[in-house]
Amino acid sequence: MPLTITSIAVELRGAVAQDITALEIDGDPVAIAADRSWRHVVTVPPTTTVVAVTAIAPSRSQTRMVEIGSAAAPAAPG
Amino acid sequence: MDHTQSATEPQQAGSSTADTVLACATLAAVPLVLSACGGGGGGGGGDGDGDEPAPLGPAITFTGLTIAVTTSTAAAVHIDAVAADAEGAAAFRLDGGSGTVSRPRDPGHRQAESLYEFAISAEGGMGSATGTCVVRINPAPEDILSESDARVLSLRHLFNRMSFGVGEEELGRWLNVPYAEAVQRIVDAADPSQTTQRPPSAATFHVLTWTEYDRLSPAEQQAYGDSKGDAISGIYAWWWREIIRTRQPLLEKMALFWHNLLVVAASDVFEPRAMWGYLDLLRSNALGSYRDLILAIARDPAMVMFLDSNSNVKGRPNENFARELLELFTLGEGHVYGEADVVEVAKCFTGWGITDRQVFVLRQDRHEPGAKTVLGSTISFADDDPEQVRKDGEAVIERVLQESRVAVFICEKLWDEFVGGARDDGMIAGWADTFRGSGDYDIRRVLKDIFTSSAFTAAGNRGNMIRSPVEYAAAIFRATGLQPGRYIDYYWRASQEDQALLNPPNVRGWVGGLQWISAKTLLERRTHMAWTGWEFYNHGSQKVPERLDGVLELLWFATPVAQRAYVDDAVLITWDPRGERIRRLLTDPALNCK
Amino acid sequence: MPLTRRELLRMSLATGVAFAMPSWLSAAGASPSPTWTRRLVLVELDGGNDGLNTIIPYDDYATYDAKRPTLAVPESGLRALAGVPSIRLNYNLVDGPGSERFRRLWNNGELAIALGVGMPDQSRSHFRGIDVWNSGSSAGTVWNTGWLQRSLTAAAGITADTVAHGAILSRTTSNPLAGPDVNVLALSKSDPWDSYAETFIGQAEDLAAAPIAGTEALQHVLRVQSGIITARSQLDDRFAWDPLLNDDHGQATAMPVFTGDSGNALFPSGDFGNQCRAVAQMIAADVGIPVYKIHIGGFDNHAGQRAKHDDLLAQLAHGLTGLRDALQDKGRLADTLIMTYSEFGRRVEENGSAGTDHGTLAPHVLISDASNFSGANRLHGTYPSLTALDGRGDLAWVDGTSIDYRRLYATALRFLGMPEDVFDATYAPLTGLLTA
Repeated sequence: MPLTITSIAVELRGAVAQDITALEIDGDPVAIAADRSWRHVVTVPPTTTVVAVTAIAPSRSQTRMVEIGSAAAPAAPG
Repeated sequence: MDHTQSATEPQQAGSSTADTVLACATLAAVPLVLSACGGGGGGGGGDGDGDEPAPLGPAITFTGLTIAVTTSTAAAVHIDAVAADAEGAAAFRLDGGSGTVSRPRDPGHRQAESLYEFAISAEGGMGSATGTCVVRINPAPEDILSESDARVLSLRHLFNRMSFGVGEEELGRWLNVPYAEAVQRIVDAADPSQTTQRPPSAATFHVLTWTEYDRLSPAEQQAYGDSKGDAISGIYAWWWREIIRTRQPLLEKMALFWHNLLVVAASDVFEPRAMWGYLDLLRSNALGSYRDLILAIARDPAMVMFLDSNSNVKGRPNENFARELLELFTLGEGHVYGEADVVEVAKCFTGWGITDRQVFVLRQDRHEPGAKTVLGSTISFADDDPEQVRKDGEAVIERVLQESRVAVFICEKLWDEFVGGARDDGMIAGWADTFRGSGDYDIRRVLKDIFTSSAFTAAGNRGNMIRSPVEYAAAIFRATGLQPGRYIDYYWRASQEDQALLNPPNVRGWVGGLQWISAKTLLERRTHMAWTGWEFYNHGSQKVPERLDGVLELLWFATPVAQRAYVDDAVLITWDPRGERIRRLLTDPALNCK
Repeated sequence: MPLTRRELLRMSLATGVAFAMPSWLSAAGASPSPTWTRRLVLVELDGGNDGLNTIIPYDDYATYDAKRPTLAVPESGLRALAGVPSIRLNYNLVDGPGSERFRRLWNNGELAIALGVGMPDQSRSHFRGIDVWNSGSSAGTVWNTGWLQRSLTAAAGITADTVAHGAILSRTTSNPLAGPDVNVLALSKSDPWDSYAETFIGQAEDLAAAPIAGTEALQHVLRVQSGIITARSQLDDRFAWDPLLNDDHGQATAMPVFTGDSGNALFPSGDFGNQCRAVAQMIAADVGIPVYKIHIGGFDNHAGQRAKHDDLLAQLAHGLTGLRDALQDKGRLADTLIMTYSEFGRRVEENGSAGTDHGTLAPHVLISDASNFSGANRLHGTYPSLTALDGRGDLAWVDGTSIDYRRLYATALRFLGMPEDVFDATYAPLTGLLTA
């Protein structure tokens, strides 16, 4: 069987500011570690996908979008 | 407004602010006291100061990306020439360093795109494979929001009706969330305690009694009147700012809805403290229980003043509040109640009034004794019960709220507000069942039904209502994240468009719907938007962010691009094409639709 | 020179843009109806005018005085009218600038009075009340169109000469022309007409005609916009618009000016006087609008009524007399009928606060050139009994004696030559009032 890339995943890692009390990605809660860091894995489709990262604080909120895409070239014969 | 003083009036609960007010009252130095105690303090009269906390750094920063590759058979994977580990993963740090696993920093804001491309190669016994992975942080809005995306259309419609227009962050945040879940979470999250703006100066305005006022010189009286006017303008500007800046617009939308139902007009009740209390009451109860809202509004000093309830006393009933309660707040004219009920309801509220410091007070000695018969039920508390005055009023409200018509009445109004057009009585009856069945007239509960109903979400409903003057202006700012120079200016513009916030023309409120548009108001709207367009172009630079150029039409309009095809591009001003395009969009008639 | 429909079509072909024809423009070729040379000016007395202190029942003055110990107009404040001894006018309708005001008009044969106007089971709610008067319905029925809308849309021969069907100069939410297919100019400030026209024309300057498409809401917006465009081009002609004057905003150079109009000699100062002047200007300039509504508010006096009400009556009489004089000056009085209306009258007895509460029947007045009124029949109806009151202590509706308000409307429609069959029954114009 020829070698192919069967899947690609991207782990997004980031940090939030001190006032942020909650983090969501596409509506699902993401844990904020004690050092204010967070991580989230996105499986990448053969085309593109978009995820929304939303940080929520008492006095502000922000949403940033991340577009993730991939393309696999056809396998070359061994 | 009745300012009679009584030596024996008991102070009732709800007058906690009276103590601080009385502490300020040294009559000899009233003008000085005015400025020290309430006139100029607080959040600033005119526009409301900025109240965001000192910058705490970027809300979200991306610090690293790990690319993990799975192959069909065992292979050695390299990602951008970095060897992957046993799981096929390679971690990269967005730290701006020069090492092989370093990549440019994420600036921590949304304004510019950051593109990270990774070349993947896999080599194994069964051959080789290559691929790429691209991570684009902050992609251009037009690349992810498009009018051909049904989710975008649904969300845009939701925000145009439920909020005051829509921003690209809002669309992005909920894009991948199932619609019903988004509705649920948005409705549940709106919370008055999350308000960040400090209250306006009206909140601590020092109220003079008539006696104190009479002792002022004419010049001092003039100054007092002027300070009242300033404080009330401050309330207008405060609410305009909240509507444009809030992260929970549904709260303001519902407060405005209740304001239009439980009408009090500031031009009539020209008392800053009372008007702020009224607005505060509406916002605190906007998404709670309608029962609580009615019970609260019956005791609201501004409402008491507006409907002359202070003169509703034993032997001389004033039917104003009783009539409005039945005709405008709960049942509607011609439903369930008759003139005799109005008289009896008025008796139940005799003695409900305010002190000369404009604090709500119950006066048993002014309460009509005896039993009252309302809607066929008898309300009868002992005449020597000192609480009879309170119990009669509360009991009559409870009795009225028992009528099944109440839920229908409110849901009809909600239909007119959010769906518009000819009412579907069957659907409204269903909403009313939910509203009534929730036990306490739970406003959030029925809103969730409404925003997920087929009447609301139907594609034919999009863009089929007229934006109120407030919505018309707010939509432009909420979409772009810009702010007006002075919020009070927008109060005056909207009043020329027939919606002076906190000053409906009469107790029936703004009729709304197609009535917002007449020859006069349409021209005023256009003129005001043209001014806004010029205000956006300031000192040679365009304030509207360039990165929004590709989604301006999507955000500003509720109707498809095809319905705006007549904009004549051939006459664009060549020295300011962006500004000219923005001005033409702003004066497009389709901007009036939501 | 008013635009004809042919000219409008030619304009639209020249620009190559599909011109949105307002639906009220009739089919090509319809000739103007001669009835469109007449016009109606409605005067809304907002809040419920106290008829008893406006036109005082002199036959039963003792009862009136007894029931209104502080509010009754004293003998010294009564003004008689020749030939009608049973009534007196409040002195504010006669005294002051305007050379005897309503008494002069009465003596000229230009004033008609209808007593005891209202309807059975009249509503005492401001909103319900004025809705009924604007829609021309019976008290218990809710109609959503104005009585004039129904008549105008049923009238034949609406032509391109009509800038708009109606102009409302104040309180635009109270609209007797409400409904589809009528074009109403809604002014909410009673600016002098030239100032309004200037703003209107300037604001409408670059409006482009648009195809009517899209949602119903958008179509509504575009229809109103089309109406503005049409009105603008016609006002342009009417006012000899010079676009180069007044800093390029343009200015009208042919505004009518009335003899004696200086200071408040002709019109009272203030909002109502401005509205009267504006209407006179629009009529004298042949703008071509058949219906005008002006408005004076403040009649809802539950407390301390006398001073306030007297002032309102003074403004009313001064303004309407000025309007009459201005129209006469320009030869337009014969084509104009002026008529008051109000959502209800007020209670006979004063209340405990030297004011009055909402009531029922009230008198109203009509003003036009003497040639339009039969001299012998200018007092209509009899004063309702002050003692045989209804169950709530208000002037009682008596079939056959009281005047249904729709008879005043029928009188107006007859005068305009417009369809009268727009009510739930047939109501005859005031008997023998109109000469033609």
